[in-house]
Amino acid sequence: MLELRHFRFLNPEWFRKPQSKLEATLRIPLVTKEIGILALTRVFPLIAIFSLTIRFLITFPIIPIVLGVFLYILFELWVLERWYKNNLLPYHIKNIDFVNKMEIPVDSNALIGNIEKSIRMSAYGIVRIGYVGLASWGWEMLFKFIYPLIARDKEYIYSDLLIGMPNKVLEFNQTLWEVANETDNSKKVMMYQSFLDKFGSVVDDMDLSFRTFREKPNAIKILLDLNKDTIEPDIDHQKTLNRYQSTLNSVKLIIPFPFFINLVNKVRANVVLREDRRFYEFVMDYKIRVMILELGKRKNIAESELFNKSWEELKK
Amino acid sequence: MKQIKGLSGSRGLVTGKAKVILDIENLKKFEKGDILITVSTSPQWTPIIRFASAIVTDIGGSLSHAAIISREFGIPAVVGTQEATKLIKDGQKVTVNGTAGVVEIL
Repeated sequence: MLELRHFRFLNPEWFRKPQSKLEATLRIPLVTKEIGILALTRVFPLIAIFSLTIRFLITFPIIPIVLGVFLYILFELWVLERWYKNNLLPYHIKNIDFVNKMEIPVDSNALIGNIEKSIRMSAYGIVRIGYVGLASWGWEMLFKFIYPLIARDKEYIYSDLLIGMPNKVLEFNQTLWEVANETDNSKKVMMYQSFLDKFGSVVDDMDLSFRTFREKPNAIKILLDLNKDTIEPDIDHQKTLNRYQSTLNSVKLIIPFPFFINLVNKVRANVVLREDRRFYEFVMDYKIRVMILELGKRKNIAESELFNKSWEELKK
Repeated sequence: MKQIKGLSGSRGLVTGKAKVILDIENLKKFEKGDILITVSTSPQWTPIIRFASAIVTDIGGSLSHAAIISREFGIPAVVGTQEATKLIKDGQKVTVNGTAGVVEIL
């Protein structure tokens, strides 16, 4: 059976904990199916188009395929960021809203239907957002390789150029800080709820058995306490931005600066994308967990047992 | 003095008190300025990284979440040590050399 650990080569920071039976039988089969669909509808056709085009120019059997794969990688590096922003993310946000607005029906069969529908949407988003993530990772790898070749000074500080971007992480910290430092209690309650709605569904790993951030109130309370009477994250960010500007001003290059800045901007946009997508990728997990926990309650199954059951067992 | 080797996640040198936190739910023992020792980080960890003086992780490379975020906050990070959470104990004084990718238990 396909397990999360089989995906660890993609990102060793994830898929490190043992996979629950429910995740393995409910979402993983759909994730696998979506990977297949993506390969058949996007990856293979693109490679085929590039390879066949080159085949008209080069008749040697292997070279067109190798060049086709290479061109496919370049093409995807170039277009995926735009595809993510213009198509995938708006579509996924619509799906997130749809799932978040789902009611918990009294009829258990309808509840099961809602869980299955939201899992399908979740799997669709996870696979495609993950695929875009590979391209954004590729941009940083490319920059890491290219920077020493185009920089005159050999102090390789490529990563100092990849800081100070406005991103969801900063927004997350700023919103948390604002909640922590709000003195009007009634306003604070509203701000806290809004913070949870916006950022509370981030997860630690891909498994429905793991609690989302908003389900860890003790941790959030400690974080709020730590944020009290501290410097505003936005002010800290300005310092980071200054660090970036001073690095950018000091780089000595063997290529014209306009080419370089275009490259830097493209890499920076992809680094932001890679981190920001975490705030969308698994955001349905909280609502899905709420629905699964409700189903478990109706069937008198404790939370500790619930995720050790297969979806078929739970549906019975 | 024991040395743990990893990868450079974010440059810089810091000496401080280590706190081994395997789950964000065990944040109680963490104090501002502590060196965060953990398996790996995810967006859930972002708010705590802001208050750490350095990060050491078992898993991850120079493009990992811990590396990106620590660079953003300008704190040293050593990532991919494989065993930092096992070798370092709570409260131990450690030096994190993010430039060399080395952690020293003092």
